[in-house]
Amino acid sequence: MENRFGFKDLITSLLLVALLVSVWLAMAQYNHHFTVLKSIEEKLDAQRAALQELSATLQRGLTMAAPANPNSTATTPATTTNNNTSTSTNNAHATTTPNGAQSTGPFTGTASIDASDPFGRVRAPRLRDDFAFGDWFVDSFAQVVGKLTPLIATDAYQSAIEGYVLEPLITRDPDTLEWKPWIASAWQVSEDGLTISFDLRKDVKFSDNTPLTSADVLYTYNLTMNPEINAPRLRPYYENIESVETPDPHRVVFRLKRPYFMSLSITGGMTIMPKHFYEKISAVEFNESTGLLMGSGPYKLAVDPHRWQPGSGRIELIRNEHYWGPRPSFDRLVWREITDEKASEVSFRNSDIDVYVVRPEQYAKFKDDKDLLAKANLHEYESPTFGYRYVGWNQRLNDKPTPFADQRVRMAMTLLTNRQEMADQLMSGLATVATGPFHHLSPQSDPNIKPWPFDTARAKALLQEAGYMDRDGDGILEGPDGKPFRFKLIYPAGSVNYQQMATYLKDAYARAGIVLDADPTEWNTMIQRINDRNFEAITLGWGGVVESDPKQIFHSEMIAEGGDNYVSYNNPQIDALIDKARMTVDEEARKELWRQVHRILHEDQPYTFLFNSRAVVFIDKRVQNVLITRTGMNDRTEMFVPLKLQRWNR
Amino acid sequence: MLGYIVRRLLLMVPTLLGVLAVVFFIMAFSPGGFGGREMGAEGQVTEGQDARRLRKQMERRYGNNLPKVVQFGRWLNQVSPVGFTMSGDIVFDDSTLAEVRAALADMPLNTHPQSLDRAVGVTLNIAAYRNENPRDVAAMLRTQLADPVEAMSLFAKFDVKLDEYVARRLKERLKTLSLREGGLPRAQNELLDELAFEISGVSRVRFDQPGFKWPDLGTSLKGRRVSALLAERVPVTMLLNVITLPIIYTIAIFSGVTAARRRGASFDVGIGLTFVALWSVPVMWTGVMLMEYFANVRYFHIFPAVGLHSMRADEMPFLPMWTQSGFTPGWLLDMIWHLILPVFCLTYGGLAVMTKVMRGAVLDNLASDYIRTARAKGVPANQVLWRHVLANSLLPLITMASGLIPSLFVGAVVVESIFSINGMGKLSIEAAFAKDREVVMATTLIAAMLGLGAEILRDVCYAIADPRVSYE
Repeated sequence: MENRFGFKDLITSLLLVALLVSVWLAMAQYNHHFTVLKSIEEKLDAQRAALQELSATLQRGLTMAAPANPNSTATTPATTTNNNTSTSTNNAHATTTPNGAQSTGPFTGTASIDASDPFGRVRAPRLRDDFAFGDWFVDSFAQVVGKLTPLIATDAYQSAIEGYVLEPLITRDPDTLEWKPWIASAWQVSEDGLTISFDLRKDVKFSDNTPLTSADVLYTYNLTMNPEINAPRLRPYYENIESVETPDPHRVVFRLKRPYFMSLSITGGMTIMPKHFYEKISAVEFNESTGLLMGSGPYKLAVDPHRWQPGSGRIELIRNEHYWGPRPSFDRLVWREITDEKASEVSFRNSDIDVYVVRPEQYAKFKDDKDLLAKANLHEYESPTFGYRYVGWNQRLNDKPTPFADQRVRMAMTLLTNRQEMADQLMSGLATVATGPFHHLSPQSDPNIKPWPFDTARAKALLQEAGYMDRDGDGILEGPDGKPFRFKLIYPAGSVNYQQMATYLKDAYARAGIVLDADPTEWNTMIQRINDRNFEAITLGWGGVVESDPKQIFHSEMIAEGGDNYVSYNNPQIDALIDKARMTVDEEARKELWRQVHRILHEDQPYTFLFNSRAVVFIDKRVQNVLITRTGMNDRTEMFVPLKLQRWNR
Repeated sequence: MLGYIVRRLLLMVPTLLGVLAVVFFIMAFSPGGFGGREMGAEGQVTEGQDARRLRKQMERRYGNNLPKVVQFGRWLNQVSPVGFTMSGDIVFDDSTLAEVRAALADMPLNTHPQSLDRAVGVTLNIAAYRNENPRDVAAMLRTQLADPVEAMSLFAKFDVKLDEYVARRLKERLKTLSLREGGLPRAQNELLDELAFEISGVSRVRFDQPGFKWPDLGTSLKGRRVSALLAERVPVTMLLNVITLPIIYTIAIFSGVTAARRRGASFDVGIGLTFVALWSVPVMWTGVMLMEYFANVRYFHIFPAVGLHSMRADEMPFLPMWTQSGFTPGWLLDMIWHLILPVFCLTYGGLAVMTKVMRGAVLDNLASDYIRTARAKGVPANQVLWRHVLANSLLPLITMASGLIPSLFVGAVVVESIFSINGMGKLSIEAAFAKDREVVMATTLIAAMLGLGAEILRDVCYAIADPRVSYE
């Protein structure tokens, strides 16, 4: 036979290539092992030191813990409150009062929290008999996280991770929503609200053991304001800052251009980035970087921030050994990227992840699932940060007033909307009817305001009063000008939930003889139409913060100049109140002003405020001390896994 | 032959341009055009001016405000290895930099090192954009900044048009500031801030600087280099395909040949039916079903549900090992274990067509004269089949392979999403939804180039495999 490249040779060469590739991979892997071993060795050394330190503190703590003993018996009720939470949430959709008992129940928490200690909430569970350090907490993301670098990363997933690595100067107590010290041990706001100064703690260190000083605060501000850094989102918030002064390494003074109620949360909420780490990086490198995340928080990236690459399928944070506060209970926080819904459900059942977020449409299916309830607790919570959904009624179109310019018409539209039924049917009961732009858990909200009822008769009367009646007997209302009352509602195309809402609203208004034409609009087109104010009605949602600034949305100045008052709502009284509240530094006085704003908006109904959504999550039963606070679920540093339930320790 | 290849390569250029133009303009003229969805999962919009500013920055980065044809031209220039330099990419040498720095350093506004950096940056940007000498620009900047309100004309140098109210507000602010005592440096700083923001990312094609350059695939909407994104995703997709394709081919060749040999027998009918049945089952359903029943603790938890590696894979030895604590599957076995379900999903659908093609080719050859001759000579039946028939039946498979080479790169969206594997499929579909121009165009470019390249390769392979084919 002639000597030519045959089938056998092909197989042989393929095998040879496969062999070479595996040899190479093996080498790479062993190489990797070597580094892992080395890092383990280093960690062991560090742990030995930490153990010695721990035994020393334990010695000290034993004497102090003796009077605190009654508290450790009080932890048994704490676990039962926990269970109560999960059982009560099963029927929670039946309770409708926005400020009902269901919201006070979960907030009780443990009695042993020391309010004066910023870490009181973290320390509280440590008195429990079954408390143990160690284990991992594994969560999941439904999306690939491409960037961890602060300032330039924009998605919510990144900020969840950043919260464990970077720390703010002051933070809100999750139960009282009062500010409490964190990196700053004390702060002063001047009478005129133009100067805010922070005294920094002296013992705060970054995860590389470098102390945090006021220079780092100044650097963070400068970096954010650097126009070459790709952070246009953040800059407007800092624009009110005139200057940042650092009279000494542990004192920072912010001077402001004008008094503004959010100044404290803007300056104090700034998360501090280490100067010595970031100043070596040029603006271009920074903008293109993926994993430059380093700070003073309880956790740090498991790999060198310079080497972190997205796409591995998970993000891991490890405990920061140099953390200045109490040691967090989990050794590692892991987020896995699980893009398929079925996959995340199965992973949760297989105990691969500890958290499973249930969407409203799945809630009905899972709330009675015995397998899931046997292995996990169902937690239902809400937070002012969840924002609200609304229908916005545009009052001016093409420089002419629309029917919605009449308050009676807007009110009638709200009365025609059975919001409770919408919440029950479209959100599986996972929503609370909203009364205004402020979340009912926020101090801005007036608790005495009750949502407008569903009242078709009153709505019809109001419409008649405003001149809308069925003049030609075709079942459709006609306005004073004789034209039928017909309008288009725009909403994001491709969203099933918005589609359902539009259909529901169409039916609701049809009952009163008003024709709604659903107009699903592609997102970018919608932005364009919002900017041009070229729509009749819109349904969307706004995000929220604990104390929000309604100026952007309801102040008449924001009608022109590209503001967000795109429904052209104009009420001089509201304008004056908002302007006044924004300048008011005193919290109590301001709260009263916000409540006035709330009352007026409730009467005026520039939007039909639909509802605030609630979140439902399953959390594996092995995780203890899961509490619901006024801002949602408590922090992971407060949770722990008892020793015998730990899974990820060898 | 060589002439043929050159001719084909030259023909590739207009085809490629056509493909790119179609994709580009369909995206550009679709409602909403290019851009990102700045919406949260719940459909909320973030409050404030930030979204508008972000869009503006987007506009500058991608030139979205230019006419669509110009945008396409800019993009082509950017990816082409021959073209014009963009003003944003011009780098000045260190001595010029030092001179500019020295020229600006003594200005009172530059007391802070960061403001000096910014002033230098603005100067160099102007110089690159206007093709002027950086030293002259520095001198010009000094004189212009003496009156901050007048210096607002600097924006025009970049063809930047400020929003009317932004301009008005800035003007008022500069006026009040510069009237105040000692307020001049502050006003100058403010102006430079606004200028630096407005011009960051502004770039112009410098027609006076043609030449060779590195092709640049650009930056994605989320601010990552497209080349880095591809480097991250392509290996994963390649891995899946490099495993899947040989499996499909091996099974298809063997079952095709066997079916042809036993034509009409139960094996032939059975295999034909089974494969066609498998072919008609949607992957989306199979994937979810496999996961529900074979990766679920409720039924059989045999396979993992997510990803390509276990959580602890980094700490595993490479090969399976018995250690003190028991058996460790090792990194390799762990990965194979993770790959079984996705690879099955990718494989079963491709079997039917391949097997049918193979079966048909073998049947054709079995009926041909040279096989009858070989049989008549007394060559053993197995040798006839596997040596003579098979070799001649592989030609149609070459045709099919040329279609598969680009798919090596393209990836499978459904399988990747179900099993949470970060491959090319997910990347391209997400980019298409987000209207992420640079990523969509980069994947189109590469897929088109691979596809066209594979066709040329196929034709060359034909000529080698079959002496009757000639292109002269």
